[in-house]
Amino acid sequence: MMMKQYVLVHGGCHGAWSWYKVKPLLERSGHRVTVVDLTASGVNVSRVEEIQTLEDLAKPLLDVLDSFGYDDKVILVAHSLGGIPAALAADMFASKISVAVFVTSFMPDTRNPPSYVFEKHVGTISEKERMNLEFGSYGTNDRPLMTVLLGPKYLEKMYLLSPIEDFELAKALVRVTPAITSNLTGTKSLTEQGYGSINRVYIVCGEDKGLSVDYQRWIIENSPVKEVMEIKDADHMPMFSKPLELCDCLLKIADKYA
Amino acid sequence: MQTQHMQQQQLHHFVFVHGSCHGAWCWFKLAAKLKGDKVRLVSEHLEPLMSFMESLPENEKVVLVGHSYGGIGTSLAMERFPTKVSVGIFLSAYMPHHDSPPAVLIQEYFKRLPEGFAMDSAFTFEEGPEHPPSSVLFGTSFMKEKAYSNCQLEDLELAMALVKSSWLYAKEMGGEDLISKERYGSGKRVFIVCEGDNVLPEEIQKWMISNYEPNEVKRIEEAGHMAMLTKPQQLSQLLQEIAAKYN
Repeated sequence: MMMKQYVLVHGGCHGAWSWYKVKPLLERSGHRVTVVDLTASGVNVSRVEEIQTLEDLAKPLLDVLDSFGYDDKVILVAHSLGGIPAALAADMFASKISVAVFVTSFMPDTRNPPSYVFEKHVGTISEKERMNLEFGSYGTNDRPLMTVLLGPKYLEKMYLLSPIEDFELAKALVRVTPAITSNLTGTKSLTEQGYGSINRVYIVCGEDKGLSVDYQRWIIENSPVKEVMEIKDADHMPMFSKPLELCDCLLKIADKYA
Repeated sequence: MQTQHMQQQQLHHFVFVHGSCHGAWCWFKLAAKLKGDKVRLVSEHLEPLMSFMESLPENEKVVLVGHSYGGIGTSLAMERFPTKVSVGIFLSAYMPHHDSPPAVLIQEYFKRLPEGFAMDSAFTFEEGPEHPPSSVLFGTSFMKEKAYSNCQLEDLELAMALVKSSWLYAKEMGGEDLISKERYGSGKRVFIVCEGDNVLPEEIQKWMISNYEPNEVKRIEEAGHMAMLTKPQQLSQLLQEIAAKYN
């Protein structure tokens, strides 16, 4: 078995810390794992107001990919909102990606702005659910930008099947994240030659109450992937509710595509 | 014949103060256990700790639990809000004497540490090498072999993703009037000794206890330095017992 290199990208409001169960499992199987804090996430010292573009948000991930050698290839794994900065990174470093894995994630296409699948989802959030999210604004009048913070009730839905300790952990750690709008990303889509050329696998989480299975399936339909896997009893946070099953999927994907 | 012993569920308000390089997150296992028993809790940094204490209604008391360096914040909060703390619990923590500035403990701690104890931890010395360090960042080896020596690998991974540099405020903690007999000194204190602690060794914990005797000393076997991660069940039980006693 050859040693592979994983790069794990967390979701909105979260950080590298989210992977604390998965990282040792993958390493125990003999692979190398790098976990990243995106800008203003986890213990990254930047403030959210410093994020003016999608590239600003993705910068720590871009730096990690840049640091790998010319011939190194990685398995890029993205969770939830992390799918969008990860897709940008894949677009810019396509030759370094053996496969990109989207775990109940917002996965862009190559026709619309990178923000499209997220903005469309925000449109489906009910008035009631919206109250469990805290929105803020920054940027300028010409180019207004937004922030979002997952409130405890929204987090509870995402962590419904996860250990209560992990829900407590999340409540202590979530940070304000930029809302990935077209003002942030620009309207140019990711490229066919870059992001469009890499292998992509989607992992559906069957009991996700944060990002519905229907919406996950629509995301896949919008931009078909090489393979769809499913973790049936996973909530929105499979790295907490089903770490063994998630690790299993990631190992199988590595075997097949990396 | 089976008898059912109905215990009245008492609500206690726990406030947790974390140690250097850590944050509120390290109490996540306890938060779940204590909340499960219908207890409200909050964990805070030092400044937010004070404004939180300030915000407590007139007749409300809390149980303050300080870990490691967080013992200093605990003593300062007990000083500022003596009537709002039912008991201060020092969990393998700095527990200053009301007669000396808290900085004395920091100095004593670094004096008593053997050479090479801190391993690959990084210190800054803004006051010069003869003074205690200004800031600390625990190194990877130090975390693995000392701070998290009793912990599950997962918990070490979590910590590695979250620890950041902390200030020790040795200079600011040198003030003569930071803590007093009348205020901090009048409070109830319980020290919980953590066996097998490789960051605040038992000898130093015992020295602090003999230097400033608390109302009670408790003990957790094989806890290591991060008892809230290695022994959440025992710790949670102990905290509730102590809270009930000093209510």
